Amino acid sequence: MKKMRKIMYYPGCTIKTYGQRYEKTAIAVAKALGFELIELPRWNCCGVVYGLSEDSVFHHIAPTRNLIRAQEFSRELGTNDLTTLCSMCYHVLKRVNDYLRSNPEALEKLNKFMDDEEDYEGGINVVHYLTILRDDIGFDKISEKVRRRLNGAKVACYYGCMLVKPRETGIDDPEDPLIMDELMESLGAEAIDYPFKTECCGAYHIVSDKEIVKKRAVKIIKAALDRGAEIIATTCPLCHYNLEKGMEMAGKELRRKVLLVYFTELLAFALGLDDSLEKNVLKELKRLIGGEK
Amino acid sequence: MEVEMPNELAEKIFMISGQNVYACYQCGKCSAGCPFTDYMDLLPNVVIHKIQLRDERVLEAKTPWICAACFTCSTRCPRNLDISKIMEALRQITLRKGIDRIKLKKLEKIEELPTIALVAASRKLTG
Repeated sequence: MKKMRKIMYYPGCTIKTYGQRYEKTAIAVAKALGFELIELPRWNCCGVVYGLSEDSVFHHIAPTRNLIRAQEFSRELGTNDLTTLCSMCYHVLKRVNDYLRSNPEALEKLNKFMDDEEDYEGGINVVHYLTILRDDIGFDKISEKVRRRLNGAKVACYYGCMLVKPRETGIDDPEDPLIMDELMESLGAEAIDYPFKTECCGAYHIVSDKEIVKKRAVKIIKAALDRGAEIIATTCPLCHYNLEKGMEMAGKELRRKVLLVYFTELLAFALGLDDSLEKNVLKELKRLIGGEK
Repeated sequence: MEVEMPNELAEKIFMISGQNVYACYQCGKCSAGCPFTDYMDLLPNVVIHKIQLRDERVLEAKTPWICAACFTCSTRCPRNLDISKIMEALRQITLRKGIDRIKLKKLEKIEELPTIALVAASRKLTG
């Protein structure tokens, strides 16, 4: 049997709570495609948002500590690649890593501050799970492994902000990303073109100003529904939460509901990995797409 | 980096964000694309203009607190200004005085919220 490629995996806080179904399907899909996600030991919260103040490295401490964990673990695992699922985690880890690589003074400052840790040397590569699927596995190869084609199911891919912006860290074009659309097409779905696929869901305003999130969600979901979407696929547990909550708050403002899933759930469904899917998600997908493998 | 700034507010913003507001020529592209303008009291380009004019009232505006740093404006600015960093600097001027925008202890139904939202909100809206 071909040896499985191992890759370091950073889960992040919400993947372990609200987004468990995202992780479970992602791990199963990876395995079916020949790579294994190995959870980073002793990881901590990435901080969720990148520190935008240029006069302070304070917000870079948490993500840097994770990069140090990855550096330690890379020696054991024999790979420098660190992957994530959550868009927020991806953005912070990737952007801090890029920043430290190009700012030796900041790196030195952080290394001196974290004198309880080994120095970070900048050798870790932060890659999003979707990028691995596209560049290392190949969507054509994934298509060959499909056991249950998605029968032209109308999927609106929702990219949100942090996966594609800013341009320097984004995994695809910030204005018109297509990576998830192409993946969905390779599974036999019909990817819907709609105008708000990269417009913010309202992010952390769900904490103190829920009305903003509701209005954002209605606008995004309505645009997808108007173009026939049956399913919205996301990469971010915060986007997922906000669209779900927004849909709940909107009630009859939306003429019908849409099924909200993580893109890995559609992958798991297409690859026939039913055991990795939550029962109600599997049921809904069977209802919308058809059940035969 | 030393840059001469004609006013102290612009200088403060520059020190925190590294962004020179005088690069802005008021095309309005940031405001045209911003998904949050419905909830703002000043449009993003007006915020920049007020900093250029050293109108300190901009520090009382709602706009920087509504900005969720989605980077749409920063991606599109034809002058390569990172407007999200300018909004962050405006927030930081208040937060660094020890004035929080939200009271974490007063939040209701906190257990229903995902960690990701709570961490982000406390990093953005409290000091």
